[in-house]
Amino acid sequence: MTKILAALLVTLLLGSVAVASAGDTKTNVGTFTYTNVYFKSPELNKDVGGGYTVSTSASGDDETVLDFKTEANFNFVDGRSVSINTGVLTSASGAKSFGMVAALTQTIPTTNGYRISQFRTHSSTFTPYLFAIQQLSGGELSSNSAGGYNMNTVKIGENEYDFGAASTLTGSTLSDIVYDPSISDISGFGWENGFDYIDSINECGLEYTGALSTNSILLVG
Amino acid sequence: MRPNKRSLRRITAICVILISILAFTADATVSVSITLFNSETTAHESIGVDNAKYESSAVLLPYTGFAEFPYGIHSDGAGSSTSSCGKFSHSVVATKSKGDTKNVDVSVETQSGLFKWSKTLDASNDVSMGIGATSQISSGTIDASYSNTNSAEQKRVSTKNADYEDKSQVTPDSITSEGFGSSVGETGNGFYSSIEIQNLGKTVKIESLVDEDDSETEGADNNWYDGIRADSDGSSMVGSLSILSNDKCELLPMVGLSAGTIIAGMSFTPYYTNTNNNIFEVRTVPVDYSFMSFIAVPKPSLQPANIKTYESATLSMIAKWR
Repeated sequence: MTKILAALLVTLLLGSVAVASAGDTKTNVGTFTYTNVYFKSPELNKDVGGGYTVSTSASGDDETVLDFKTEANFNFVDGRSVSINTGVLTSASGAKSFGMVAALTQTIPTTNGYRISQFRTHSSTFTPYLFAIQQLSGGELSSNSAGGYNMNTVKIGENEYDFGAASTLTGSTLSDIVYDPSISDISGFGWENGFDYIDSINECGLEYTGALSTNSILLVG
Repeated sequence: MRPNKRSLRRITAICVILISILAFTADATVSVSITLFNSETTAHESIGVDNAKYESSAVLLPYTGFAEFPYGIHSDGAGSSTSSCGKFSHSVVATKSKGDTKNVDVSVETQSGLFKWSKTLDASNDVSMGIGATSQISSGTIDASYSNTNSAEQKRVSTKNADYEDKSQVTPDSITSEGFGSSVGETGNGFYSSIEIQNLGKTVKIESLVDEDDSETEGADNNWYDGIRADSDGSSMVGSLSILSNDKCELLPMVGLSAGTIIAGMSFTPYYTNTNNNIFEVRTVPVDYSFMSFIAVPKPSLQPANIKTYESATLSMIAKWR
């Protein structure tokens, strides 16, 4: 029964695509989605679950438009843990700044409490000029590993600039940042990007959280 | 027949002078014990110093409210190290006549460092006391322990081309401490920290390590923080460390089995104080029980001059329990 329920949920989630857009706003636009899926483990009778949240925003002087698509796959492994894989495609135009935060969360009950692992990626881009940006970010989270990526293309006038970062699945290394050196043409350009892998336990009255965060900043003078 | 107030104040002033103590040492160990008691309270102090000095004064009255003083016993003291290698231990125990006992204990030893501390004691209808200690090291070691009736903290920090400062306050009801460290050298920076706290039947230990090879021409910066609070309402423990690039170097990740010239990691060990049984298994950051590993290399010469990049990695642990 659990497997059928899980399969149904996975099918529903695979087919789900959340799309939101906003226009006619002179300063800030943003979209947000939040999904959580839980089911009961046969032997524990407690909720096992996973979920993801994505939040984006953009601001500009004139008209700023932001489009947003997200897709997530949930796989239940041996009935006690969740493997989540998600991808987010975001486009903004008419912006002077653009930001995104995405998080994957897995909740696993134990006999003495529960454990939560979370993977987050965040990114913020700004220029003195109006730009269009397309960002593809994604991540994977399973019981003991996490990783993600964040790729961007910024268009100012007729010129395009690429930059991005990725972290390994172990979450144990710095993000590997890459960028097109021609980005040095954009005086005042800035990009901040980072990944966080968070490991939490709440058992026997003791709450513990361990986190590994990596961060990169690129500034053009 | 009671003497008048003027006479009483004279008597009190004389008592202050008589029970003032001074311990000053030079490359020697000195210890002193003091017991103050009146009809309400018995207070006992033990102080031991090695390459440190300590001075204390006390006012002892027959009872609280005598000559309009708001206390029956009042004592202040302060001490400091006189050498880069020194130690002190200081304990205060006070027992009210109705049987309540409170205590605070502090000991600090530094190698290549300095420390200072102060003590206050006031006994009236209740007893309040506290010891505050500040210690600093530069490429050295601190061994410190702080305790009261209910809680205890042990801290050991060793630094290499790095400074560290610890500020702690112990009262009968609480222990609070904070420590900050940062690298000072171009290369070869590092530290090891072990902080253990016992409170409410649980013991938690956080160990942190950064080690940078000193053979590289460019090195990364690092800084770290620890914060402790333990009282009857609960406990919290925070530890974090950061590795940072700087104007001269960038950080490159090392993937797989390759060992970088910089390693960093943290571990978290929770167990029941009485049985030593683990509450749950040892946790680490990174989670796979490995060290984080990377190298610091000079900023690329081909990088456009107007582009600046900064990379950082932060490892952190937080624990709370009641």
